[in-house]
Amino acid sequence: MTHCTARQEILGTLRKSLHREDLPQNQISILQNRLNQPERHIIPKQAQGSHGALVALFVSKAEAAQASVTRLQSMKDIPSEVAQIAAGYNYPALAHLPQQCALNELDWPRAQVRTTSGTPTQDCPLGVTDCFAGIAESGTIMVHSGQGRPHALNLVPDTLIVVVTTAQIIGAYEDAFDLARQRFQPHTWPRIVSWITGPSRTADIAGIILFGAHGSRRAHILLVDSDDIKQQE
Amino acid sequence: MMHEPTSDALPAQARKALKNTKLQSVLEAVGQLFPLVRQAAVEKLPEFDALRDVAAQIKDHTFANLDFYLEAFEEKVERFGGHVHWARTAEEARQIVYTICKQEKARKVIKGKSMITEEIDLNAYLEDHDLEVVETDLGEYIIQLRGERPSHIIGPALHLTQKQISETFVEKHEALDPTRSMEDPQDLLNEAREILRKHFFTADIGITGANMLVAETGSAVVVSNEGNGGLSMTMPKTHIVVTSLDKIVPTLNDAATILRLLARSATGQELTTYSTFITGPKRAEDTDGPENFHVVLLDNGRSNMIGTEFQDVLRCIRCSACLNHCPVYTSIGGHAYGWVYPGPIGAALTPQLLGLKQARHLPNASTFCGKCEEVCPMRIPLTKMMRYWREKEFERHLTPGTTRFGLGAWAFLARNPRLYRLLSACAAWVLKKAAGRKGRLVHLPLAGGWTNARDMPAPEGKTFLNLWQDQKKDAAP
Repeated sequence: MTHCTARQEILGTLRKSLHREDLPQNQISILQNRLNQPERHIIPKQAQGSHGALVALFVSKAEAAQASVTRLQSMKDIPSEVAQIAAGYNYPALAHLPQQCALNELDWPRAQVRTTSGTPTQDCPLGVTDCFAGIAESGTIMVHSGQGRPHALNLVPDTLIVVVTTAQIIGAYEDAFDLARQRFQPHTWPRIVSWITGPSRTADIAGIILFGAHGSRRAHILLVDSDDIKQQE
Repeated sequence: MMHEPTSDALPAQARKALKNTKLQSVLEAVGQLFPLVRQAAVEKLPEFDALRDVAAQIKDHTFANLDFYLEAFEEKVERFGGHVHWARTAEEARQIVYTICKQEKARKVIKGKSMITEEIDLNAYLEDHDLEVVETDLGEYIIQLRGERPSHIIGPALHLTQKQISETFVEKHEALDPTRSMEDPQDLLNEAREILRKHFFTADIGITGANMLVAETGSAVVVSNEGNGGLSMTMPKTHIVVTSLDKIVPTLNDAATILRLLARSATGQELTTYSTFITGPKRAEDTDGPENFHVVLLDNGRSNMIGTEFQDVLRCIRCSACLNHCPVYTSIGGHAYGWVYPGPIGAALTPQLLGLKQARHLPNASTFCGKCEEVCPMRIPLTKMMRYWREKEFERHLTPGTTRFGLGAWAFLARNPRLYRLLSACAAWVLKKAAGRKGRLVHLPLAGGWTNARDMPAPEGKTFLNLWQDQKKDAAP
């Protein structure tokens, strides 16, 4: 098969170029170790502040990337905030949520917002999602795919609202990966881990920055102080 | 129809570009805007230069153990049911992709932006085999409609004005009202968004490139500001990553270091809007995603560059900083270079990929100002590489006779300092006389390239050495 010969030939050429045969066993263990216990390189100082400083950094970086940030005290405030955002854009009061997500437990009827889930269709005005973490160093939201969590929901809605709690804010990219390595095993690693920083944009028309190229035209972040979703009536 | 490179016609193409006023107005903006936004982003990250050193070390370490990391990556991809295909040549890579399309009985392919698919001219190949190929990056979509190739690595349609783009849309989007408003650039974007969104939902295959591959998890990293990459890898039933073997890094942490450099160097952003790590196909419990996941690993001569003085060029992350800061690129634009990789990175890489006979002009299209090297986030010694190619060109007698004669004469004089001094003193005197009282020369034999565009300031009659000796005498007590 060409596949096998191409593979062998490329690896053979590489070893010839490196003036060696297969790596010796001790070198392989060193490399294996480098993969299994990933070392950290330089972490920007500003990503290593106190938690309070990181939350402030997250907000300022997200806003610099043209996301809007609204701070809420309680998870219970989310439905009415979403209703307001939907009304502001003249959207129907319909929020597309991930199916397996605590946001579903909120009292949406009281805010007169209907909810739906599943893979969004071509026309999806409003998506609301929770997230895995908020990364302060660049004002980034980290999401992942999984059961009831279509990746399309992070891209297709005209307006994407992301809920993040202050406790979820971490400093650096490496902190985000550490969290993911704790949560997932190598064999349960999600298909998609995605970092989203502000709304979709392009400069492909004469260098002019325009929002809403293919992904969301607008990104709203609801930064919630207390993760009190379970305590609601 | 497949594209043939035209790098051997660079001088004529450059002359044409210099006379193209539309292009010149756009290039001026490129040369001004990009360096400004990059500088602003770099200043906000005190660790930037230290990160560049680390990033270069990461890649050097990876290359020294490339066989190990590629095999580790392959194992992880296969663990999730994905497939890795190794391609020695561009032709092999094209065939692998086409075979997958055939297996899937595909009719429509959507694509995210990918330089490797440009390198292997994949679109033309698939179209020749009756597949519909739709580019989804807005810039790539625009040039696909116009039948052009990218002129810039991250801004493929940067050579076009808004008016040219709206004319293209009116001509190609035939179903729409030809008198519709196109004044606002947002109108153009909305039109393309609507058309392309339908394609995302109806394509059989999604092809993307990869900015990096991560051995730790078997992930491909794709960054995109538009979000087209994310949709291309999520909506169709099959996702094919077409990439090259130099893109690999060992761990996610290594990728993080490089991501801190990439967007800042490219667009002056701290991070691209969407930075996505894709690992294998849709899981059994997943709500969406492709059932099939393939990675095509292209070699195309790269494995021969490992361990040579050209290994460093493989560190490139395609940020375009070297183009944006290059006085030659910002004067002639990308198309003049005649192939996929323009500017300094093209001058270093293209001779290796296409051969020096086709690409010999590229390393000469440089003022050696060194700005490219100064801004390269991966610290690639670009001028050293261009100099190397110039030497090779001379050795292989690819340089034209007149240039060889000139270089030979110069070398002879430089090795005979007395003769050099005598001749340069004569020349200074002659030029002074010829210039007369104006002190400037309007025409100069053998230097028409200079005097066609501006006057040559004449020497004042003495050589540098004469002046130096005079000054030493004056300074003596």
